[in-house]
Amino acid sequence: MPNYLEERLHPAALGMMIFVVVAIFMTVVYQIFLLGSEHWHIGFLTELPKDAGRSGGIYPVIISSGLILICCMATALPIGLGCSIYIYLNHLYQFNSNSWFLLCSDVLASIPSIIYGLLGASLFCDFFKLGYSILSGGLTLACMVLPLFIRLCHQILRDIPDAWIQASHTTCLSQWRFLFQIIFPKYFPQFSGAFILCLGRSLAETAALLFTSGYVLRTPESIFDSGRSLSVHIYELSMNLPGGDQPAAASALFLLAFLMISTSSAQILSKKWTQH
Amino acid sequence: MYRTSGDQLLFYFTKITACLSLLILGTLIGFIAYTSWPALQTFGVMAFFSTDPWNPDHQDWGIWPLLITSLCLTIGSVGLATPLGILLAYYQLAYAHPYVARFLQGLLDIASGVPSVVYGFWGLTFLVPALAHFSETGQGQGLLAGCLLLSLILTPIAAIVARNSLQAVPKDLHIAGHALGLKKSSIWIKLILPAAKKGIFSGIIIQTTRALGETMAILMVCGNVINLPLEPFLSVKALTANIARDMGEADDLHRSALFATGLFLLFAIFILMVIQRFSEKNITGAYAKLS
Repeated sequence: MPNYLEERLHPAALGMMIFVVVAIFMTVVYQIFLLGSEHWHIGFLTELPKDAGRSGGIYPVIISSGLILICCMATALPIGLGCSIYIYLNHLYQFNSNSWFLLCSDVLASIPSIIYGLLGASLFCDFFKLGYSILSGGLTLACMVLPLFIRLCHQILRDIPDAWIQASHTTCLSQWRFLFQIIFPKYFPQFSGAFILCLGRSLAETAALLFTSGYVLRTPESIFDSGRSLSVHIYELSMNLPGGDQPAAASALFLLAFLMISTSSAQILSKKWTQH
Repeated sequence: MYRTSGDQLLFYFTKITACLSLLILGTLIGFIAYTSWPALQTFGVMAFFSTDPWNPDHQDWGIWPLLITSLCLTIGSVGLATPLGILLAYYQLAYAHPYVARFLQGLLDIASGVPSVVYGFWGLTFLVPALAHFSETGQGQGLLAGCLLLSLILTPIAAIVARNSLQAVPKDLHIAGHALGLKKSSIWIKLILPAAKKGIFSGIIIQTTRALGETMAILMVCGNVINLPLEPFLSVKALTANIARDMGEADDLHRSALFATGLFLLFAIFILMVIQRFSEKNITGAYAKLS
């Protein structure tokens, strides 16, 4: 009987503890939601900010975030895809030659973002003389998400069934056709899932952008202008602007909503193939 | 596979991109070392660990209070997050109803993707005022707020890594445990957890790298005054927060000294990576899955 009691009590106590942890996470979102919903209005995304961001919208911030993301993914996508294809194709011929690449991308993936910020500040801002600009911020972010993107693409390519490769051998398909007419169309959802995950990762980044793309609250005219990304906007409002809590919470709410949608759509996309 | 001239082109293009992505690591180390060289040459490495606490106006470059703060924050938050993460994974795998488990999984996925600046914002607006009620000086910022917030950031990561490593334990152990007539709790605590200890250890390393490099949350709730972390409600400043706070107005030697602290941080991360690499070969897949 004591055994029976213990078997019942154990999960109950555990469940209570888990409930507390879950409740804490819910509280975080709920409190931000309560504070942010007071400031949220229809034109929040399309209006220009007034009074250094205390009222009005976040239009310039969205434009600069979008430009930073475009710069970042336009660099990371071809390089990441190319690198993972190289690892994959080499893997087909000679084993173990890819471990160096994977080791390096693992090391790169665990380097904190502030170090990437330092790299961007010294390489892109100073050495390439881009200054505080959206382009240098985007390139810094590209360096940061590249290892993750290579890893995700490598995982997708690794799961390709051997039968497909054998079939392409027997039919004398060229590598080019094998990749672009079979693999990419078939695995398109997975690749776009990986892409979206990296997009969310780079949108969430703050520390790497603080001293590469700057924090000017103005609509950027070109990618060589300085611009404030969404997460830097939240930081600036809450840390350096008295009375900026409500607009910061509203921006955080927008960022959270965007990330939730992107994460779940990436998961749905990457599951799509495995289901049938 | 049959190779055409297009394939040769593809091969060279992909080779160039692969070299480019390898080049990032070299460039990263090279440029940070290059920029920090003036400071290292002028003061020497030991100046960062032996002189008075960091004060660029008086040419003091001692980073040991910052380093101790970073270590305290890391130990405190990892010590809090690891047991919580293991408990979450254990409950999710062993006891939770499938719907609850799926809900928990979704929650952890989302929580691990929440940007640290949002956690930092929440900490600054809600956690710090709440903690201020408990402090004698009426100030909530400090080591305790940093530890709590950091463990909140690390818990989902710890839970996901622990879940992955618990799931990787062979099914035979479960079957053997049931065959011996063991209780469910004994099977999990005495058989499965010890079997997964390598994965859990690598989870601790992953959390430590994350905690050492975490910038925004710590920058926002720790108060940013250089102090030794002796009391829970004393304002402190961590290594990463120092870089982020000073980079804006730093010039010449000061900037170079900041890059040198970044270099020390990079070395610490590399040492952790080596430890992780030696402890187990194939664990970093768990980190990539986190995304």
